[in-house]
Amino acid sequence: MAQSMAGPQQSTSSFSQGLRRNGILGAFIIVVVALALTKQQFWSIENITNILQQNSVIGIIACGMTFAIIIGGFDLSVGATAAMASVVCAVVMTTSGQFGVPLGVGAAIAAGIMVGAINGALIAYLRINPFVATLGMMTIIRGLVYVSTNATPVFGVPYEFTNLGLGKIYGAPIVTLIFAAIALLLGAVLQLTRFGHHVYATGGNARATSVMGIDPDRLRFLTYVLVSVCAAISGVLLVGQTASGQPQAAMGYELTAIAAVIVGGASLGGGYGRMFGTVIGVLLLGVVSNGLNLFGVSPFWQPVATGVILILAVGLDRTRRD
Amino acid sequence: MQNWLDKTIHRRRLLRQTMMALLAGSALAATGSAMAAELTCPAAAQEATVADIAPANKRIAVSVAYLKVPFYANFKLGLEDGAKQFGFTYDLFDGNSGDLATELANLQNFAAQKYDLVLLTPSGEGILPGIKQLNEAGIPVIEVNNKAGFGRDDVDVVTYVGADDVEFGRLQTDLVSAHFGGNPVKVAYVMGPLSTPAQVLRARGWDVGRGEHPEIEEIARVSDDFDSAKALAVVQDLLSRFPKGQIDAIVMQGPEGAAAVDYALRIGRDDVVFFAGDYPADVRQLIYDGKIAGTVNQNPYPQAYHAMEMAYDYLMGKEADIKRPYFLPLPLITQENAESVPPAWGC
Repeated sequence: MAQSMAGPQQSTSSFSQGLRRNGILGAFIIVVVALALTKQQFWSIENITNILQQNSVIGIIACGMTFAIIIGGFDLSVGATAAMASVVCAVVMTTSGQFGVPLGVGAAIAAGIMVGAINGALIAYLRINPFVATLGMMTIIRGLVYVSTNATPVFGVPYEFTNLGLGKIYGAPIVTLIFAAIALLLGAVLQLTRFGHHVYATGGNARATSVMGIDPDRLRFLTYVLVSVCAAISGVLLVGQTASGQPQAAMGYELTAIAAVIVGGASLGGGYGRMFGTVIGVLLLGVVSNGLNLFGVSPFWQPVATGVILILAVGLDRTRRD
Repeated sequence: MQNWLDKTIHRRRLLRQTMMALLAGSALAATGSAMAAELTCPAAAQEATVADIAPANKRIAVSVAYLKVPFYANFKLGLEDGAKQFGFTYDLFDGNSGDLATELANLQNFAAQKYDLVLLTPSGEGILPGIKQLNEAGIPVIEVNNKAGFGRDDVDVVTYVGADDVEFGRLQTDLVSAHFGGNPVKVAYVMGPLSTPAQVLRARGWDVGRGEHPEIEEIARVSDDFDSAKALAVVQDLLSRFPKGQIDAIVMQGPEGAAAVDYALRIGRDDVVFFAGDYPADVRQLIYDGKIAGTVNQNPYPQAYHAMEMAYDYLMGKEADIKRPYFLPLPLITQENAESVPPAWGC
């Protein structure tokens, strides 16, 4: 009997320990339960899949941003890179005939790699502060996109391509499956590979890691390439959602992505953060936004409510950790 | 070894079959929702050149608050054509997405550089001190597309050339009412970026129109920031919030709803009728396909062109020819006339 009681007690205690360890997960669960209890439509399959779909694009950017933040930097050019990738993808798709789709996707990813390489070189080898380097790249990229498109969206993307952005497989949005795959893959890279461990080490103490024989510059370079590739993938998915390349797309995504990573428990000082936390951070932001819309909160009040909820959630998490 | 090879070949075959099935599924889905017919995409109509006009040979400065918004692509073409026609050289400046400090700096520079005239698309009334500075410098100001100082006593603005955004919002209620035959209709209203002139004035007109059409019941008011991805998210949430029977229409201030309309049709919400604002190429196609019920066409090209014309009349002393204000028509577009009216931009 004693043995049979130990099971549930242990599982309850490990659950509460888990919650204590993942405070933001607790906050997320509280928000979800509160919404589920107070708004019937929240719990519908349609609404849940909507939330997942709406936040997958920003989620992929946040996955990349997690690496940048853990290594002790961040990337303000991700929104511009996503917009550029969407325009490059749309232009190539609409001008390359029957192979337009694979060529468009490939060109967008290549553009992302190029931006990441420039960011990485500026930060790792020219020692330019990540804020300055990526802010500069953000404005350069946006400017080039406006120049090349005359600030006009690129229409004419094959309609079938919207299946990528709006379609579902067995009820799950395809963009969410891609987000999940990327989060799992990058989470595994972060936790299980030498590269991931070195990212943590460099973010924690770059000088010490370099004494250990690790090349922090190379790591930073690769990290910024990775961030930009994630942004480029998001740009391609935006084309899948809107059937067009939008020069003004992803405006402000950089701050939302950074917020999601920080809400997920990462430290802006570097050396700390988890992919699981980032995913929860993204979903928490998405659920709050969805809840406010379902309750019909005025758009004037929505930013206030979002800010208050985020500060409460992160504040509780930090208090618990302290 | 042979066993391993067989397994590998089997796995590859399975993978290839899965990929083929996915591709076939995608193609089927696409065929099922394919558009009836793709419209050709003619460029927006341009003003005809008039031969016997003496060139003004003056220098104009143009400041546009939201130059990077797609709407202004054809606006720039209108400026170009107007300048050519009336003999102006002009310099075009961006207001950095409605950043008042940038707009004010633009106007201060115009005063310092002694331009002959300023064409101004302001972000709002915060620009009034800048207009006052231009007045003090003796530089005439004409407002285009958005207005802030025209009609006020404290600043001097020659005229306003553009659409009446209040009328724009009111006309959207006419569209809705006509579509539903004057019957009661529950509508969600999707606005642009909060506090911008387009959002504020179109919403004001929408409210005026709802007074004239009491059958239109507004059940929700949200914002999509004139962003396609956000428009999709906002519409998804509206459709979750209002199941079938609780909402009849979604009216958008802007033209960013293409993906949202597509989504609604994908999930079988053809009970909701969509109305857009403005008339780019993709909205035209969706109206032609019957997926959007209608829009109000605000064309940026003639606004810019006629602003140049008004500048010409003012600088050449033809004050009697100046229209104050110069409101351009806001034609309603529905499936009936979408094919014959070229889009305002996007081709």
